[in-house]
Amino acid sequence: MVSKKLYDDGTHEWIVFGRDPSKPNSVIDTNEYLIISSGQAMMMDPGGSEIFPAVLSEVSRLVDIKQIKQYLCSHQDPDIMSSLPLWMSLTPEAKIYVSWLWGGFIAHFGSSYVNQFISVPDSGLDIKLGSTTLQLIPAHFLHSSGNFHLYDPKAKILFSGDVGSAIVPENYPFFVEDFMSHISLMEPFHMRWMPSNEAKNKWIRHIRKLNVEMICPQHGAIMRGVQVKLFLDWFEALEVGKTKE
Amino acid sequence: MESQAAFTSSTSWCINGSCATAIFQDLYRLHKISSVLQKSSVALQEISVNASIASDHSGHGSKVFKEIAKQIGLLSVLLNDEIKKMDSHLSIMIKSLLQVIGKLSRKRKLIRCMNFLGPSKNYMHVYNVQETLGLEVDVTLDETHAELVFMKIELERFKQLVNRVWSIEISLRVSATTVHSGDEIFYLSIAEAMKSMATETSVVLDDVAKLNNSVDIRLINRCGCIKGVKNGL
Repeated sequence: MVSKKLYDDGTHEWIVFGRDPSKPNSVIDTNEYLIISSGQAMMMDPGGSEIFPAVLSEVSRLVDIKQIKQYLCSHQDPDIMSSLPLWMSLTPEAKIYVSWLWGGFIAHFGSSYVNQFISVPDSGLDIKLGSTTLQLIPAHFLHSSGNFHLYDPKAKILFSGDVGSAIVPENYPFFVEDFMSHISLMEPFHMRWMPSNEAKNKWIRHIRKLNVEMICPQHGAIMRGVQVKLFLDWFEALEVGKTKE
Repeated sequence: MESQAAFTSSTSWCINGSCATAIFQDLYRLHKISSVLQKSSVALQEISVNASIASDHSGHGSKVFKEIAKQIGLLSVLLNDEIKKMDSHLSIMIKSLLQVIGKLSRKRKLIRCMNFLGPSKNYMHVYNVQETLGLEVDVTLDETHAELVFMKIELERFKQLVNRVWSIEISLRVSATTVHSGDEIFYLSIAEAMKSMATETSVVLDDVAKLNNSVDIRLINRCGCIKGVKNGL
């Protein structure tokens, strides 16, 4: 498992984890993100149980595990959060932000930590981590019917879940180097997994109003700087909700 | 009906916590076999109804026969109560074992993590959490064992009730030799039905007792992998 620091102003950090060479081939590669702010940490989409040992060991190089106070599950998929029972056995006091729509479903993983769920309303939520306020941005139907992204106004980073994701080859760089060629890796994923053009365009209108300098998806590579606008323009023009035939 | 092989196939000890799964599987078989006992209670109830009908047709012994039918009916109710109690213990045990399997899976994952973590505060934290999970598993298995003991008590009571079925069957056969001519056919047919029911139930009870013992032994000899201390975890 490789990690890379995306932002660090001394008290506030963003780190991405991914490109795990030890993961079984049958498991899709994922990116996990950690924010550390004034000694408190939050994990976004902590990942599947298959990669838990690798993620834990990498996270553990950076923080005391007990510092993890919050988890965001952007949606309900197993690659997003099937490791949650394991994380919660290590951090039983941590809060789990999840769409109100999924709480009762996720509880099937084991109900002992249900009390730690914070049901996020459809409109989103501002949450406090250390000295920072983070924004949970509605991203419903992108692709899940109850879906949230996270925007950090301080770091100007948007954690975008499956939006911006791409199925990339092994050892693909963490950052997109050539946006135009990266499109071919994103396009099939977005066409198939994003079911609604209406939801997509609503999300794009919302994101354009934010001051985003980096888009961090759960699969694939991170887009930054001018690539953010390029991505939003490309995504806006893309017709989604169809198979590539 | 379960074969003998089912009871002996899982006696060898396991790797990676599969002995907890083996206990679960034994309990599940027990649950399946126990449900067959339900049929015994229903069969006895039917015999009671038939005896009651037969009593209307028997001559001088009608009153005695009615009483016998009533006793058989009561016995079927008692059997049914015991089945319900056994079922309740089994449900608790199965639920507990599922929890154990879940916790052992988490424990194994955490032990795997410890191989990645160098000596650190985090290593100690993971170590402590997996130890706690091991203790919780032990406690749950102790509770499961206690339920098994309760179930054994119910099983013994059930056997006693089946013995009463045998006693009534013998009484009916003896009575058949003393009643007025023509009535003995009623006594003998009810006795035959009870014999058939008691024979089938006794076979099932033997299987239940064997599985019960198998779970008992597994719970006493909790192997290292249940506690997560061996077999390459």
